[in-house]
Amino acid sequence: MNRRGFLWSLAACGPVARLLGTPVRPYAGALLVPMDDAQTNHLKAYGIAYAAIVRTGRVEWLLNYRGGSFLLADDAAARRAATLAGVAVESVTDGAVVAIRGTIDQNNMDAIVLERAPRVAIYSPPFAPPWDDAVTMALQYAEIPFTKVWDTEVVGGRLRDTDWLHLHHEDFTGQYSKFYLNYAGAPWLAEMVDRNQATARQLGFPHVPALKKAVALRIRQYVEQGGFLFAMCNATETLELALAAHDVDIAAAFADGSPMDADADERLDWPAALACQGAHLETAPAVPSFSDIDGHQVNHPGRRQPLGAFELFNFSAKIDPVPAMLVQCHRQVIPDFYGLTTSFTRRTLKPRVTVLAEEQGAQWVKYIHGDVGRGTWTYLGGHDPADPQHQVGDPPTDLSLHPTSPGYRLILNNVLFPAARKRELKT
Amino acid sequence: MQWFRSVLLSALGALALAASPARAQESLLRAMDLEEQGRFVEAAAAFRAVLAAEPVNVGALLGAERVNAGIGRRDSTAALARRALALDSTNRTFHVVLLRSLRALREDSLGAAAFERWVALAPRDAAPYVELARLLLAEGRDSQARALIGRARSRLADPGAAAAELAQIEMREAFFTRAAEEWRTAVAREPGKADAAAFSLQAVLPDEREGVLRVLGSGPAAAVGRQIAAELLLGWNEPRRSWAMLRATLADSGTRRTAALRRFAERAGRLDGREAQRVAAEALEALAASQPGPDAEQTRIESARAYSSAGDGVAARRLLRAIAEAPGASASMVTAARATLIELAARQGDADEAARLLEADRARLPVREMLRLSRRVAFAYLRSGRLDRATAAAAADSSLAGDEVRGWVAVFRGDLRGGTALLRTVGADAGDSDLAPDRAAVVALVSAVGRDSMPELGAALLRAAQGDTLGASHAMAAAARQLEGDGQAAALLWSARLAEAARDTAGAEGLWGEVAGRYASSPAGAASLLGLARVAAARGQLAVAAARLEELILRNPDSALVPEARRELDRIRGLVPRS
Repeated sequence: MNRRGFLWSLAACGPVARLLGTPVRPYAGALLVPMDDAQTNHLKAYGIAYAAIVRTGRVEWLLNYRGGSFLLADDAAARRAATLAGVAVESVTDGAVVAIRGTIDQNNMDAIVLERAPRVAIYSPPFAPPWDDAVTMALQYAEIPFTKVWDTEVVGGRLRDTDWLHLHHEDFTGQYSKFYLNYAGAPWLAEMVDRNQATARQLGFPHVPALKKAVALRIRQYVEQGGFLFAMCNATETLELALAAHDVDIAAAFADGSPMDADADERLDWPAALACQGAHLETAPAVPSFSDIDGHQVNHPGRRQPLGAFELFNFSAKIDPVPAMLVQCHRQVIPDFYGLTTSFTRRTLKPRVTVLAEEQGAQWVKYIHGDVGRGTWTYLGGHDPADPQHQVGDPPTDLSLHPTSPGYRLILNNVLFPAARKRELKT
Repeated sequence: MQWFRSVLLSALGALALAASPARAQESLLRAMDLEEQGRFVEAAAAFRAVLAAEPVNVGALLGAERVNAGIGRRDSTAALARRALALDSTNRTFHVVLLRSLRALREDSLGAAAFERWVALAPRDAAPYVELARLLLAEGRDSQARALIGRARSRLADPGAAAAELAQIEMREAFFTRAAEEWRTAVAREPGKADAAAFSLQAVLPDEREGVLRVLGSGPAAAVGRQIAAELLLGWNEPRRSWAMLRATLADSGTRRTAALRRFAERAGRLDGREAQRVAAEALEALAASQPGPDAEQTRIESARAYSSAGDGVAARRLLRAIAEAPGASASMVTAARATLIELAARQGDADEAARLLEADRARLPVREMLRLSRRVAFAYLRSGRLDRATAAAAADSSLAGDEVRGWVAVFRGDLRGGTALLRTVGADAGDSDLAPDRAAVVALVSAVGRDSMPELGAALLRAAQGDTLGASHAMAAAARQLEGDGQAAALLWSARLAEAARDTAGAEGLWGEVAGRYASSPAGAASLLGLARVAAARGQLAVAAARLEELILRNPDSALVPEARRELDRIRGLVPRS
C-alpha cells in the first residue's frame, strides 16, 4: 500500500481524515450514482446530484470513477427523486465506500466535494426564436433551476448574482447571426431586430452592434471577477470578435448603418478576447460566416467541412481536476454536431487555452477552456449534441429520447463544476 | 515519402500508358476502384497517369478532381485542367473544373481571369456565366451570382439567360413570384428542368402560393407551368385542385400522358386522407382508359383498391365487376378482380355477398387463395356475430390461420380455455397480422381471469369485435363483478379502455379509479393510474396528473409502463417539448 492509499484507509476513521483534509463520507449510508453504462439516465443524474447539494450541502463527484459517478447521502428524498427520474442508484455499504476510495487513490481518479449549488443564469432573448438552446433544454430536463438574463440585466450589473452564465445562439457582433441572408421577411427575424433595436435605444446605445459590444465587455468583466462562463454555438465566436473589436466597426451596414471598417481585420485587439487571436473576419456581408475561427463554416457551401467525431482528453484527476471535471463522460469519442460555430480553428487559439476535446488530425478543436482573472470560461462548439444538423425551425429536441447523450453530459459537467469546493478548484 | 512514392508511380504509369490507349482505359477503371476503396493518394496517382497519356480524358480529370479534393491537393487539379484546356479550349467540363478548383482554393483573382478567358473564347455562349453562377450559388455568394447573371443578360442581349440559377437566388431571398417567373422561363427553354422547378418552388410560403400558381399558369410554357403547379398543389396537400390542374393540361394520349397520370397517382396514393386516395383512384381509372387490354385491367384493379381506401366501395365494386364481366379479359385478371370483390364485400360487412361470390368462384380459385378468402368471409361472419357461419366458412382450413377463426369463435362463446389455447398456438406470426395484438391481449386477460369458461366475458368481447364498444364496456364491467383479485382488475381495466374508446370518459375514469384504488400495485393498477393521469392532463389538471404518475412510478417501479409514465411526467412538468 502506498502512502496515499494508507491515508485513505485511515480516512474511514473520520477524525484522521479531517485532520488530513481529505474528503470524508459524512453520512451513515451512501448512494452511488454510477455514470458509466450502468446508468439509465445520465442527464437526470446531474439533477439528482444538484438537488442533493441543495438539500444536504455535500455530494462527492468521483472523477474518472465509473464514468464520473456521484456519491451522495442515502436519504428518502434522494431515492424518491432517483426512482421518479429513472436514475440508477446503488446502495453502498461502509466497506464498499472504503473500497471505492482505495480504487480512487490508486488510479487516475479523485473525489471532488460539491457543496454549494451554483446560481445559474442563461443569457436568452425575451422573444421566442425558432430554435432551441441545448443548455436550457438540458437544465430543464435535469430539473436544475436557472434564471434568464438578457442585455438589460447584463448592462445593469445583474451578473453579480450569478455563479454560472451560459451563452448560446447569440450574435455579439450585432448582425442577427446574418439570418437575413436566408430568412429575410420571416416574422421571427423582424421581431428579433425590433427587440434588439428597442433595447439598444432604451439603454442609450446608437445601434445594436454597440449594445452587444457593451454586453460582451460586461461578460468579460464578470469572468475576470470570478464568474464561470460557458458558451456554445456562435455565442463563442461572436463574443471573441465583439471583445476584440471594441474600437472597430465590424458590423455590416444593415446592422449599424455603416459598412465594416476597411481595415477592421488589422485593427482587432486580440488581447482583449478570451480565447482567440489572429483570426480573420469575414468581410462580405452576404457571406453567412463571421470569421475563420469556426473550422466547419456550416452555412457556406464552398467552405463547409464534414462532421467527424471528437475525442475527449484524459486529464489527471488529481493534478488537473478542473479540466478533468469538464470531460467526465461515459464515452471518450463523441459524434460531432454542427452549429453556426461548430469548432475552433487551432491556429486562432491563444497558447494558454486548454483543449478539452479535439477531432484528431483536423485543423480544429471542439471544446476549450481557460482562465481570465479570477474566473474561467469554457466553449463548446455546435448547437445541439443530439441533433447533428439542427436547422432553424426544426422541432426542439426531446431529451427524454436521449437520456444518455454524452454530448449533453459535457454541458451538465459545466453546470456542476462551479459547485466544487474552492480548494479543489485552485489545485 | 508517401508523396514521393505517388509521384514516382504516376511517372512510371504514364510511360507505360502512353503506348496504349486501351491500357489507359483499363488504368482509369483501376483508378476509380482505388477511389472507391478510399485509397485517394494512390487513386490520384493513377488518375494522373491516365491524364499524362491522355490529357483530355474527361473521366480522369473529374476523378482527379474528386480525389485531390479529398487529400488537399486541389492545386494539382487546377494544373491538370489548364493542360486539358490548352489542348481543347472548347470543352465546357475543363473550364468548369478549372473554375471550381480555383474557387475552392480561394484564388479569386485567378478564378476571375479563368472565367474571363472562357468568356473571350465563347462570347455568345451563356455557359461561362451559368457555370460561374452555379459555383457562386454553391458558395452562398448570392449577390455576386445575381450581378453576374445581370451582366450575362446584358452582354448576351438575352433576358432569359441563366434563368434557373436566378430562380434559385429569388427563392433564397423569398421573392417567390419572381422565382416562379424565372423557373417558367427556364422550363420553356429546357422542359427537363420541370422537376427541379417543382422541387424548388415547393418551399414557397402559404401566403404566396396563389401568386406563384398564377405565374406558372400564364405566359410562355403555360402547359408545362400548369404541370409544375399540379405537382406543387399535391405537395401542398391540395390533391383535388392538383388533379383538376393536371387534367386540364393532359394530352389526349401518348406516353407523356401515361407517365404523368402514373406519377400523379403514385404521389397522391402516398398522401394521407381519403381525398388523396380518391384522386389517385380517379387518375388510375383515367390511365386505364388509355391503356391496352391487360395493362388496363391491372390498372383498374389498382384503381378499385384506391377507391376502397378512399371509402368508396361503390366505385371500387363498379370497376371490379367491369373487369370480372368483360368478355375479352384474361382469366388471371378476372380471378384477381373477383378476389378483390370478395375482400371488399367482406371488409364492408356484407358477409353473405362475400360468401356468395366466393362460392361462385370456388372452382376457379387456387386452393391457397380460396382458403385466404374463406377466412375473410369467416371474419365477416364473426363480426356480424354469426359464429356458426364463421365456423363453417373456415371448416376446410386446417392451417394455423384457420385455427385463429376457431379460436375466436370459442372465446366469443365463452370457452376461454379452449379458445385461448388455439389463439396462443397461432402466435404472432401466423393468422391475421392486424389481429396479433388483440390475440395477445385476450390471452393475457383470460390468463388473469383464470377461468376455463365464462360466457359473459366471451359475449363482452364479441360486442367489442362488432364495434359496440360502449355496450362491450358495460358487459365487461358486469362480467368483472363476478370475478375477484387480478381477474377482476384486468376485466375492469378492459372495461375502462372500452369506455375510453367509446368516448365515455367519465365511465372510464370511474373504472380506472376503482382499479387504482383497490389494486394500485398490480399491472392493471399501474395502467389505470396512467389512464387517470392522461385524463387529468387533458383537462389541464397538471398537478393531479403528475401526482398520479408519481404514484404509478413509486408503487410499480418495475412496471413496463414506467418509462412511458416518466415521459408523460416530463411533458406535464414542461421538462421536454409537449409535441
